[in-house]
Amino acid sequence: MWRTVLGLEWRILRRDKAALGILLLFAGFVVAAALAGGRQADSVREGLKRSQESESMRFQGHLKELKRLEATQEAMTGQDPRDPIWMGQEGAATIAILPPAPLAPVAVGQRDLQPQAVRLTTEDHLSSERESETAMSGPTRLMTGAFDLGFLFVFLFPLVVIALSYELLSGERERGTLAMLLSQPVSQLALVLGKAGARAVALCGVTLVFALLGLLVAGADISGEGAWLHVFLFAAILVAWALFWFAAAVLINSFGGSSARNALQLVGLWLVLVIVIPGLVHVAVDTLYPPPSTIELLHEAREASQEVEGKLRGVEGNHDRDAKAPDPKEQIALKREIARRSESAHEVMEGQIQARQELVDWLRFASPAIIVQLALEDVAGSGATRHQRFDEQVEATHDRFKDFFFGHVEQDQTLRSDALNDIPKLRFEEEPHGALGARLLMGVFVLLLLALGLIVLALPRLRQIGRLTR
Amino acid sequence: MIKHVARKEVREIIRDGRMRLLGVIVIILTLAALAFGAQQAVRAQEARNNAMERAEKQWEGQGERNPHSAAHYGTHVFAPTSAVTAIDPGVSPYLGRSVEIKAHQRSLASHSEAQDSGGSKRLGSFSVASVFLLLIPLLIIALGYGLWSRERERGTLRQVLSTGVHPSELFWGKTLALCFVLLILLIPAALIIVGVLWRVGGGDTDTLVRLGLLALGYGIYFAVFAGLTLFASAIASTSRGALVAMVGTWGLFCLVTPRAATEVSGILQPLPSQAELGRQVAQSLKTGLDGKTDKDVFIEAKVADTLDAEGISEDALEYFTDDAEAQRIKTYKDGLMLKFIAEWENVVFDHYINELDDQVAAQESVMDAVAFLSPYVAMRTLSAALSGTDFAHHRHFTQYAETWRQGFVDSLNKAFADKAGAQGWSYRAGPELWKNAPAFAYQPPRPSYGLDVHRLSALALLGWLLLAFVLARWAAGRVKVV
Repeated sequence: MWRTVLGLEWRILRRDKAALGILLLFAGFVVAAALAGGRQADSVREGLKRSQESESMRFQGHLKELKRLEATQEAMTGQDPRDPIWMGQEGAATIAILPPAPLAPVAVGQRDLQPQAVRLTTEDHLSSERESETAMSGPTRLMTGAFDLGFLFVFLFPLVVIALSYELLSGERERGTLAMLLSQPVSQLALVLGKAGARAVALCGVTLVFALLGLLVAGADISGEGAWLHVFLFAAILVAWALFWFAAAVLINSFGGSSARNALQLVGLWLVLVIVIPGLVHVAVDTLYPPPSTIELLHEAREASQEVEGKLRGVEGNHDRDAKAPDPKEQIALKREIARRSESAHEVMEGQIQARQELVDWLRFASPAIIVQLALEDVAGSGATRHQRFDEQVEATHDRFKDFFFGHVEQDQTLRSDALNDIPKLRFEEEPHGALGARLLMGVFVLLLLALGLIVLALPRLRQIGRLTR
Repeated sequence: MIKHVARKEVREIIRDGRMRLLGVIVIILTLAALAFGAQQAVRAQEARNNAMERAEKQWEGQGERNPHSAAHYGTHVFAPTSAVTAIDPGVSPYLGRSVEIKAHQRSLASHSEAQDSGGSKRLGSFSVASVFLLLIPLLIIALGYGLWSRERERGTLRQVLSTGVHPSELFWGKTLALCFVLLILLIPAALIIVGVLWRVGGGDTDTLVRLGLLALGYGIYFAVFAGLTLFASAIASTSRGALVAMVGTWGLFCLVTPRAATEVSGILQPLPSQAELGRQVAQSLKTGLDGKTDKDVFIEAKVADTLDAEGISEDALEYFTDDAEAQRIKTYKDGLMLKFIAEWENVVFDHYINELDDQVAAQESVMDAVAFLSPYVAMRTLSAALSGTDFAHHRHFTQYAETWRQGFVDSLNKAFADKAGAQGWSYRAGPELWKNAPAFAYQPPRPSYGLDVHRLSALALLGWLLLAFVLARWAAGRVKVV
C-alpha cells in the first residue's frame, strides 16, 4: 500500500513541471553555493600556504646563517639570528594556523570574521598582528553573509520544502481528487505520509547528490581524515531538517485550510523560526552578556602598563644613532611585567566570551534553524567551538613561545642552529570526532523529535481526512 | 466610488483576525527592535565617551617624554556614534570603531563589534531596519495577495464590475485601502521611533532630517511591494498562485540577490590580503612609490639641501663637536629628518590606503548597480547611507583621522625640533605639550551625504516605484473577471 502511494506520487512529481522547476532551480543554487563556498575556502587555504611557505623559507635562511655564524664566530650585529630578543620579536615569528576542515566549502561561518592565522612573537598578545594572507572582505559582504550551502540550507531549503508540500492535501481537495483517492484501498494515514514521503525522498536525494557533486567540484577533501564522518553528519542534518519541514506541512495540511492559507501559515512559521527567533537570540545574548570590548581591554592593558611601557617606549622612538641599546634582561623583565598586569583584563574578557558561547549553545534549541546553522558551521569547521579551541591553543603556544625566547635571554644564551626546531609551534588539535559527532547528533535528534511531535499532533486529524471531502 | 471600495477593503482586512494579529506582531517586533537598538546606541555612545576619556587621560598622563617618543606612544581616536544607529546599524558592526594614532604608521580602523562578539553575529541581525526591510514587505504581501484574486474566486468581482464600476476605480480603492492599513500600523510606530530617538539624544535637526528621509525612503519601498502584490493578485489565476509567486519574489529580492551580488562584487573587485597590503607598504616605504628611490638617500639629500639653502654647513657639525651650538644644529637637523620621514611615509600610506578604500567603494558601487535587480538592495543601501552607517561615512571618518594623525605627529616633531635645542634626544617635554596637541574635532557629514554617494540606489528605488505602479495599474485594466 505504501509502495503504491509512493510510486504514484513519484509519477505525479515527475510530470509536475512546477515542482521539477523548483527542484532544478534549487539544485542549480546548491552547486553555485558549493562553488562559492569552495572559492572562499580556497582563498583561505592558499593564503595560509603562502604564509607557511614564507615562514619555512625564513627559517631555512636562519638555519644557514646560524651554521655560518657558528663556524665563523662573528660579532653580534643588529638583526642576528643568534640574538634571542630580535628572533623572538621578529626573526623567528611563527604563524599559528587553523587549517580548513575537509568540508570547508559547506559554510563560511566565522571564517571571515575570525582570524585563521595568528602571528606569534614575544610581543604582548594584544599588540600581536593577526596575520592574514586571506583576501579582505568588504563590509557589505561581511554583513550580508556568504552565498554558501549553509545559507541555502538554513534559509531557502525550508522554502523549497514548503513549495513542494503546502498543498499536499488542500491541493487534492481543491482539484476535487481527494474523494477519489480516498475511495481507493489506501489508508488515510498512508495517503498523506506517502505523498509527503515521496516528496521528501525526491528533494533530499536531489539535494544531497548535487551538494556532494558541488562540494567535490569545489575542492572539498572527501578523502581526508574524518571526512566521511563529516559527510555523514552533513547528510543527517539535512535529512532531519527536511523531515521537520515536511512534518510541519503535514500538520498544517491536516487542519484542512485552503492552499493559500496553508502557504501563509507555513511561510509565517518559517519567518518566525528562521528570521525572527535567531534575531531575538542574538538580542538576548547581546543584552545578557554584552560583547566584551577589545577597546576596553586595550585601555586596561595600556593603563596597567603605562608606567612599565613608559620605560620601554622611552627607548623606542629615539632616532638618535648614538643612543645605547637597552639592557635585554631589563627589557624582558618589563615585558613580563606588562603581560602580568594585563592578565586579569584578559581573563575577564575570556570569561565573557565563554559565557556568551555557553548561552548560545543553550539558546540554539530555541529554533531548529539555529541548530541547523550551527551544525553546518561545525561540519564545515568554521563554527565558534573550533575557533575557540584555536584561540585557546594559540594562547598556550604563545606562552611557550615567549618562555622559550625569554628563557634564552634570562640565561644569557644565544640561539643555536640545533635549537631552531625546538621553537614552539602550533599544531592544531581538532576536537575529538566523538565530541563533534555527539554535539551534532544531539541536534539531529532534536530535529527528528520535533518532526515526530508534529506528526503525532497531526495524527488524530490525519485519520479523518475524509471529513475534508465534504 | 473609490472611497467606498477602499472602505470595504479596509473593513475586510481589519475584520480578518489573522491580519490584526500579524499587524500587532509586526509592530511589537518593531518596538522590540527599537528598544534593543536604542539600548545598543546608548551603550555604544557611553563606550565611546569612556574610551575617549581614557585615551585622553593616558595621553595627558604619560609623564615626561621626548615629544617624538610621545608620537610613538600615540593615542586612539574613536568613530562617532549617532542616535540614528538605533534604527539601522548598517555595516558599522563590521567596520573598525577605533583608529590607532602613532608615528610612522597609518593603522586601519580596528576593533569591530563583529569580531568582538564571537559567534552570535552570524545568527542574523535584528534592528528596526531589518524588520522594515524584511518583515513588512511580507506583511504587505499577506495583506494584499488576495485583493483581486479572492474577489474573483468568490465571484464578487463579476458582480461589482456588473454594477458599472470602472476597474481603475477598483484599483485606486484597493491601493488606498492597502496604504491606509499600513499607515494605521506604521504611523504610531514612527512617532514612537522619533520619541525614543529624541530621548536617546538625537533631538537635533540633522537627526530629524535623516529620519524624514528614511521615512520617505521606506514609504517608497513599501509602495513598491504593495504595487507588485496588487499586480500579482490581478494576473495570477488563483490566490495561492499570487501568494506563492510573491513570496518567491520576496525570497529572490531579499535573500538570494544580496548574497549572490556580494559574491559577484567580490569577484569583480577583489581586495588584497592584509599581509599583501603590508608587504606593498613596507616595500614602498623603503624604495618609494616608484620602487627606485632609496628612502635614506632621498631623506638625507633633502635634509642636506634644506640645510644648504638655509646656509648651515654640514662641516659646522664636525667643527663644533661637544659644543652646545653643534648639538642645537644636530637637533635642528634631526627635526628636519623627522619631518621629511613623516612626509615620505604619508605619501606612501595615503597612496595604498586610498587605493584600498577605492576598491571597497568599487565593491559598494556594484551593490548600487544591483539595486536595479532588487528593491531590497536599493533600500538597504539607502537606509544605511541615511543612518550614517555605511562605508562612505566610515571612510569620511578615517580620512579625517588620518589628516589629524599627520598634523598630530607633525606638531610633536615640530616641538622636538623647536624646543629640544642643545638637549637633543634627551630633551623631555611635559603635560603642557600633551595638553596642547591639536584637538580631534571630527564633524560627521551632512544628512544628504549618503544620498550623494548612493545616487544610483535612490534612482533604482524610484525606478522600482514607477515599475510597480505601472504594472499594478496595467494589470488592473486587464484583470480576469472569472
